Amino acid sequence: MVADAIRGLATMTDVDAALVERCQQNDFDAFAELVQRYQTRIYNFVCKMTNSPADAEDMAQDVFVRVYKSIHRFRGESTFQTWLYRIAHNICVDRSRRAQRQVPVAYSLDAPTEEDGGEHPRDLPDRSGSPEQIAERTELQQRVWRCLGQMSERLRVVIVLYDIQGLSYEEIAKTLSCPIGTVKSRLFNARAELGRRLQSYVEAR
Amino acid sequence: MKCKTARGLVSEYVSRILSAEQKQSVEAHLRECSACEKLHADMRQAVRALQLLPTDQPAAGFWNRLSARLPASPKRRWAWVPLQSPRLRLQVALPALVAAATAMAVMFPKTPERSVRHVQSSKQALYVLQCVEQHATYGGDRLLGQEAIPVESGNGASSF
Repeated sequence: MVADAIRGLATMTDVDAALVERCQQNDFDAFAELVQRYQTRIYNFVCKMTNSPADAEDMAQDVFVRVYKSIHRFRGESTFQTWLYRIAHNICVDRSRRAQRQVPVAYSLDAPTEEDGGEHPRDLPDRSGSPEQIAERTELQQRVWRCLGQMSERLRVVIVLYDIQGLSYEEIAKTLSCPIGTVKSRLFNARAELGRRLQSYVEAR
Repeated sequence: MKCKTARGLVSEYVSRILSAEQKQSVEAHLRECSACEKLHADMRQAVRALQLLPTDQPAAGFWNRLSARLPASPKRRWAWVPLQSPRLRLQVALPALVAAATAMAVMFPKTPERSVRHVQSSKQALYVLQCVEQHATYGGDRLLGQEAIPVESGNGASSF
């Protein structure tokens, strides 16, 4: 699985630690490199958490601005990645609280998103198969998006971090400041809930 | 294996992180228990569906837009960031204070010459006070007494 492959790569903490150290010595290029390494993952995480590609770029940038401002206070008590995801999660929670009274909007996966006045096509990597298969896959993706959006934030963050971002139980526990047992039980509940919702969709077709 | 134990392991089974022994036990239970097998099927479908989601990429120029949002002159700003921490501020301020005190001590040493000059200044001030006092009691066109004028001695110190 892709998430498993990422989980292996997530141990590349030495490179991050060296870059962070350079950042703390005011090396701006090192900061640019950190952004380059994590921008897609953070953008993707924020996208999945908010279900709002329109806001995802601003929020991902908020994450890196906060990192930029506070990297001198990073003491290396956790990995940089864990710290980064914690900041990203906090920004998602803040936004969620602000938008609590707003009606959630469901986005179509293949609908173009507006980026700086232009249209930015969403990345749909797997276009193989017959038109029927593509349509079916797209419909399932939309359903998954919708189900994720309906899930509570506590469950959604765990399933996104584990099954999409590829973090380990330990990393998620540190990111969310909760015990590993809590991470496991939330992942169980999130998967079971998503599975039930998807099953009802499959049966309804 | 009981259902309660199997349900506790089915998520790890889907993640493929169980030991070989646990995996065999769970599989044996799933073959016998339709309720747990249904849970397993739902979870497997959920994980597979999540893998279908595309990896969203930020639009080109993400870094350019981000760097425009960062505070101006980041290096200059960063140079002062450590001083925002009280502990670091103390670590920087204390040596600076010691250095300043040392510099003051070198530039303005308390030498014996300085003490003599200080005594001399006091005597001159006393002389001025005497003059002022005499001026206040001045009774006509009488000149000031010569004895009140300080005389320079050979070693640079004045005496009355």
